[in-house]
Amino acid sequence: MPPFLQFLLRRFIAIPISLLIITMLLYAGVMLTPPETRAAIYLPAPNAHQTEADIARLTELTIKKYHLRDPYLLQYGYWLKSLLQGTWGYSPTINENVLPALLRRTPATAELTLYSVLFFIPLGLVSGVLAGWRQRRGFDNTFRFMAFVATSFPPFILALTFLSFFYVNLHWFAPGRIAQEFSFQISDPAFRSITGLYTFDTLLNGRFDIFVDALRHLAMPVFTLSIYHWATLGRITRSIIITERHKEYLVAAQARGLTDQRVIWRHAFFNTLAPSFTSVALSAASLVTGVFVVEIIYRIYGVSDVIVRAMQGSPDAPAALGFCLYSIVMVLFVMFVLDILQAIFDPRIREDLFNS
Amino acid sequence: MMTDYHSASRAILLNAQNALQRDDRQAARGFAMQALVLDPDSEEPWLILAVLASPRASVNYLEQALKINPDSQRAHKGLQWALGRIMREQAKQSLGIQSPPHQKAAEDSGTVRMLPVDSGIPAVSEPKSQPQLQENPAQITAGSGPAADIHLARSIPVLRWSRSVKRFSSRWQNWIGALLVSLFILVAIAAPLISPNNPKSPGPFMVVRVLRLGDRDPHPPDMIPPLGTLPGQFDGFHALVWGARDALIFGLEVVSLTALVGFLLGAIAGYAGGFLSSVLMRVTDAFLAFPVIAGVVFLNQLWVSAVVSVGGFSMFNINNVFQGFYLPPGSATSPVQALFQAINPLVLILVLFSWMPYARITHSIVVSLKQAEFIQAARSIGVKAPRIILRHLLPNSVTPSIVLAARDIGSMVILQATFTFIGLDGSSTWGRILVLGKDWVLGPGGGIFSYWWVYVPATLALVLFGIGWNLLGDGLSELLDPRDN
Repeated sequence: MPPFLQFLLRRFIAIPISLLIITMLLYAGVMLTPPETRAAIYLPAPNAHQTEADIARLTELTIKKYHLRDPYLLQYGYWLKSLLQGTWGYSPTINENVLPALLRRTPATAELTLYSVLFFIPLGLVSGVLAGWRQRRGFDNTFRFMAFVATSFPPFILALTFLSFFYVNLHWFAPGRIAQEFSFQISDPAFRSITGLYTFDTLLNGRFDIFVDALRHLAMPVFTLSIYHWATLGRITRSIIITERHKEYLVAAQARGLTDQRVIWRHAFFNTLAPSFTSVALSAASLVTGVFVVEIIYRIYGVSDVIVRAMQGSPDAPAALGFCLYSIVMVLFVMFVLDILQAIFDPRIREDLFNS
Repeated sequence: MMTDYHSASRAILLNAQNALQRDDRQAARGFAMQALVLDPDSEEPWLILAVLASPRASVNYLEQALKINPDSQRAHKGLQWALGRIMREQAKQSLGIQSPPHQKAAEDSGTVRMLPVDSGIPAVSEPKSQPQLQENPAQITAGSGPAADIHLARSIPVLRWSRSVKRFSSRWQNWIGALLVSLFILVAIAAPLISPNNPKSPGPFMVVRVLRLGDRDPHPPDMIPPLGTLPGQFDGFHALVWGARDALIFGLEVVSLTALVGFLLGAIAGYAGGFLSSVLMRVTDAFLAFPVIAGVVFLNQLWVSAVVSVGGFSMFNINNVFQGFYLPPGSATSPVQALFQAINPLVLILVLFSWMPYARITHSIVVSLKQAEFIQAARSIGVKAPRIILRHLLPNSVTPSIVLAARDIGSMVILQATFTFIGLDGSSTWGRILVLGKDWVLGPGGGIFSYWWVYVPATLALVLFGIGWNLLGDGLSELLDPRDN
C-alpha cells in the first residue's frame, strides 16, 4: 500500500475511536434518566389512533427490546447498533425522523462552513506571515490592532451590528439563504439540485443572478464567522514565523541572495503550515459552535434549525442526541480534512509520504 | 560527564548574568550558587557572588576566585575596590557616623557598576536603589564555601512580588486590563449602592413606574432611569449594573471550577503517569471534538426530560427567552435534578467542556517537573509523596492555570451571553438586555442610532468585560513566562 494511503487510513481510524469515547460519555449521560424516558430515543412516529395505553405498551416493548433496564454496556451496545443502522429515532417536535431531517439541512450548514474556512484560513496565514516577518512595523501594528478588535467583539454582537447596518439601513446584504422570489425558482423541478449548495447549483444551472443573490446572503454570516478565527489563526502564524525567522535555513536562504518574497513564500511559509493547521484543528469545535450560532442569528435554516425547534421546552431526546452526534462528526470531519491538507502542504510530512 | 557539568554550569552562569542585567539580584545569586555546585573550579560564579555581596563579604568571594585563577585582572580590581570600601567604612564608624540603610543599599549596588562581570556581556545598567530587596550580609559572610550557601537558594520564591508589580505596571495594556477588571469588580460589589433594588420588583430587571401602564416601548435616557428604559418598562441602568454582578459571579464560578477540575486531573494523571496518563490524554482529545453548543443542547434535554418526568415544565417569557423550570414542590428526587438545582446547568456544561486546556498544560508541566533535579533531590532524601506534591509540584505548576483562568473569565461570560441571545439559556443579564432590544435594533423603524440605549450599554459592557480580562491574562502570562524577559 502506498504510504499516503496508509497515512489516510491511520488518520481515518482515529475518528471512530474518538466517536466511541464520546458516544460512551453521551450514553452515560443518558443513563441518568429513567428507562421510560430513555425509551423515547427509539419510539417511532405516533399515529392518531394510539391511546395512552398503546403508548405505554409500546414504551414497555421498547424497553424490553433495547434492554433498557440492563447494565450500561449492554444498553450502549444496542444503542450503538441502532445508530449504525441509521435509526436515529423520531423527533416529536419536528415531526420527522432525525437522521433524514439532519441530512436534508446539511447543505446550508456545509455551504456556510466551506466558505468561512476558505475565507479565513488563507487570509489568516498570509496576514500572520506578513505581520511576523516584519515584526513591529506598520503592517504588524495594523494587524495586531485589527486582530485585537476582531477577538474582542463576540460574534453575536457583530451579527447584530452587521444586520442593523448592512441589512436594515443599507440593504446591501440580507439574512437567510436566498431571496423570496428566487426560493420558488430553486424549488422548481426545472432547477436541477445537484449538490444542495446554492452557490454551486446556480452556476451548474447557469443562473448567474441567483448565484449573486446567494453570495449576497452568504456575505454577512461568512464574515461574522471568519473574523474571530482569522484573528486567532493570524496571531498563531505570526508567532510561529517570528520564531522561525531566525532559523539557520532561512538565514542561509537570505545569504544566498534570494529575494525576501521567495524566502517567505517558498521557504518559511510551508513550515508554518503544520502548527497553524494544528491550531485550527484544535479550535474546530469552537468553529462548529460558531457556525450554529451564526446560522441561528442569520436565520439560515441549516442543521441548527433542528435544535432551535427542539429546544422549546418539551423533551425531545432523539433530536438532541442526533444533533450532538452530528456536530461531533462534523468536528471530526473538519479535523480530518485539515490533517490531510497539512500532509499535502507540509514538506516534512509530504516528503515522508510520497517519496519513500 | 565532566564536560556535561561544565556546559550546564555555563548555561546557568548565563542565566545569572541575565538576572544581574535585569537587576534581579536574588535570582542571580541563586544561579551563581547552582553554577558553583556544578563546576567548583570556575572563577566566574565567585565573581558574580562578589558583585552581589557587601564589600566585606565580597572579599571572601574574591579570594576564592583568586585561588582558582591567581592572575585574574577582574578579581584583583574588585579586591582593591572592596578593601578600599572597608577601610573607608571603618574610618566612618570610628568617627561615629552610621550610614542609613538606604544609602548602604545604594553603595552595595555600587559594586555592580564597579565590577565588569563578563567581557561578553554589556555593562550593567544604572542600578536602582531597592532597599526592600537587599540580602542579609551576615548570611553570606557566615560561609565561604558553596555548601554553606545552598540554603539561600531554597529561599527564592516562585513569584517575586515587588519586581513583578514593577514589570506588570510597565505596560499600558496591563494598566487598561487591570483598570477595566477592577472597575467591573467595583460595580459588581457596589451594585446595591449604585442602583438600589426595588423590593417590589427584585432582580436585575426592575420595572420603572414613571410610564403609562402598558407602554412597552423603550424610552430614551431621562433623569430617573439614567440609561433609558428597555422594552417592557425595565430600567436599563439597573439591569446593566446588576448584570455586572451576575457576569462576574458566573465567570468566577465557571472558571474556578474549570481550573480546579482541569488542574487536578492534569496533575494526578501527570504524577501517576503510565496508563492513567494515556487515558486522560485520550479523553481530552475526545472532549476537544465536542462543540459546546452540542453540550448545551444535550444537558438541557437531559434536564428537561428529568423535569417533565416528575410533572414540571420549562418557562419562557414573552420574548421567548428561556426563564427556568417550574418544579412541583417536593419532587427533587433524581440525581440529575438534585445536581441541576444545586448549580446552574450552563455552569456545569461550560466546566465540562473547557477543562481540557488546563489539564493538558498542567499534565505536561508535572511530567517535566517530575524529572527536575529539585524534585529528584527531594525524593532522594526521602520526602513523602504528599509533601512533594503540595510543597514542590503545586506551587510550580499552578501559574499557567491561573493565566488561562484570567483569560477565560471574559470568554465564558461572552459565551453565556451568546447562548442567551440565541435562546438556549436565560442566565445572562447582559444577554437578556440585548434580546429585549433586538427587535428595536433590527425591526422596522429601529436602528442602532435611533435606539442606541437598548444596544450600546450592554454591548459595551460585554466587550469591555472581555477585553479587560483578556488584557489582564496577557499581562499575567507575560509576567510568568520566563522566556519573555
